[in-house]
Amino acid sequence: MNNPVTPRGLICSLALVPSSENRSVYRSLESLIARLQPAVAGLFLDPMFWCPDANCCGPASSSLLEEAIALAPPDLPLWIRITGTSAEQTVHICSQLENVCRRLKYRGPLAWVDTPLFYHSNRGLPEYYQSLLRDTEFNLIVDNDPQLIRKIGDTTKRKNIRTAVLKKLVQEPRLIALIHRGDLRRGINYQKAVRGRSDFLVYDGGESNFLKRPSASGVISVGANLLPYDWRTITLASLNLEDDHLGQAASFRHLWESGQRVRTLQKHYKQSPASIIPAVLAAWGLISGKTKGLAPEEERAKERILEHLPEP
Amino acid sequence: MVKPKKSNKRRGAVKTIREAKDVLRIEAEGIYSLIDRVGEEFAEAVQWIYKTRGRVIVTGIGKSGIVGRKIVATLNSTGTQSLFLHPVEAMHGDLGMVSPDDIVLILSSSGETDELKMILPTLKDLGTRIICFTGNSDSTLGRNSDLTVYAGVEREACPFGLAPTASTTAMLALGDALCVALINRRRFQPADFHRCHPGGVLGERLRAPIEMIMRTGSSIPRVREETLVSEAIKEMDEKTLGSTLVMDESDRLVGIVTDGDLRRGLCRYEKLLEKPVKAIMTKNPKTVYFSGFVADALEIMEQHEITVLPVTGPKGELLGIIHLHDLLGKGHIKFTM
Repeated sequence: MNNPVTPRGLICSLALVPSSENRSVYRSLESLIARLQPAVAGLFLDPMFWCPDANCCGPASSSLLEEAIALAPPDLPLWIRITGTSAEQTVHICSQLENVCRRLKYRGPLAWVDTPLFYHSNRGLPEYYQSLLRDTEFNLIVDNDPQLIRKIGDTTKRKNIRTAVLKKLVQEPRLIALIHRGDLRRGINYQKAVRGRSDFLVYDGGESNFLKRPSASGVISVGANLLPYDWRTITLASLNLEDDHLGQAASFRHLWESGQRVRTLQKHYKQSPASIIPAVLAAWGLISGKTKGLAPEEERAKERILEHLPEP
Repeated sequence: MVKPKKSNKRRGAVKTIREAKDVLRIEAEGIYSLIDRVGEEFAEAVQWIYKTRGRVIVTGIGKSGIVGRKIVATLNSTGTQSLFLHPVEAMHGDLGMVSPDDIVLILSSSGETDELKMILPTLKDLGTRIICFTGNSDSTLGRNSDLTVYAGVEREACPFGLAPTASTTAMLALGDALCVALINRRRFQPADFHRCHPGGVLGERLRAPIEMIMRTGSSIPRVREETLVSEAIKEMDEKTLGSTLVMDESDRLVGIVTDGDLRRGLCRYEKLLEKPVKAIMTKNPKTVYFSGFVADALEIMEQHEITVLPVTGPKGELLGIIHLHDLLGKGHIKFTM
């Protein structure tokens, strides 16, 4: 039996832009969540995605997070990133967010998400997490994101969690899932490493990987903000969670078309999803408030998406 | 202009090979991951099928249906009566083939296949025991079956579930595991295999009468009880069967000398070559009746771990000899554990 906070399926990473005019963002957040709720298995609040430039929008991000927690439907698992720039800051963020959840009397299934190698090395990671988990009542999901680590620019730093370290990490029962964004072979090795834990899931963090060789646990998708139902269709089909042989021909056609739409859009936004997706959502009128200024090529990508999908 | 074309072709080949390797890796890992998941419920499923007086009715649709047909074929050819039931045909009358003594094996990756869910209540009413192979134990079919065996994989090699790959491979492998476990429980023998396989190269060879392939006349290595070991070795060497039969004065078969007997003799006697063969021969060797089948001979050889069998007639007289290689050529096919 799976943990309710880690369902197999589509986890949507909310595409939002925190700003000083958060009021208008809050209003749109409600409608965005309402649109996504029937299609997704869980929501992911990822300030690192909202503000790839670390610390650029700290306070705005925090208040947006708080608002999102308040609006999150209690029947939908909620994942929140706690990664800071150091172990101390991460522990601090975790504790702050936990206080927010208590204050808001949040009752839904909730888990923290952390990319440990952003601020920590592989060495001592199991012990660090044991200590972090002692101070929180919520479970933890580990994010392996070599691209993010690469951005730090430290060539001596390991980009991936070592498989041997992961084996030790999964001995901690409150560490319940891994998001893997790297290459397929490493993903397979990670899956091998966690086989002893039948309740432990390995999600695809990279949409491209999932669209090619889908993990049986699910995917973290930012594109689901644009096409929630298409993403839902292909995720359920890829995970063998539904069988529809009665209407097979129609269902295959629907699947194929959904897959094509998702792939086409992904091709356009993948260079800069954090900027392009909120801009498209704003153009559709699904979110209000100021979105980031787009670079010319991002503007072109947005226009191409809008050519394909003039409205939601 | 030619060079870039070549390099494009090469790049394409490299990509194709890499993708093929990825798919094989995913499928292999799919099966590998099941190893840790095979547990008590699988053993129970084998026990149920082994003990049942009825048949195994396998059902599934789409790719699972194709896997189901293969499992049926393997079960039948290895001594377990089995039938495939198409779920749609089942709803149109074929459910009549199911009796309460039967065991129904449902194959469904999702565990939510509509056509199977529809026949589930009728199967339950019949009192048939239901085993479900599924990748989703917490599904409708998983929860409502008497035994649920996990058959899920960690990753598919093809997106969108358009062409299930690793999941069907894993289910097929699990089906094979079931069949092989049953072979061992039933102590399935070559003769049984021959009964189920009248066709094919192996079946043809196994059903051949022994008298058709046995060596006869001067190609039978034979010596008298009093023959010296040195002479017996010459006979063994000449007839190239690694052994010689030992006959008494009335030409009745009384023993056999093999390479093993020679080795043991060397340890026991200092001047072995000067000893008569009766000192080292194995008395009353195993024999096979001339009108039997190759499968019978193979079974005796495997049971007693020997490679040569004298062939006897109705009065026990020696008619010929057969060697394991005559039965199987150069191949090694083992039927029993």
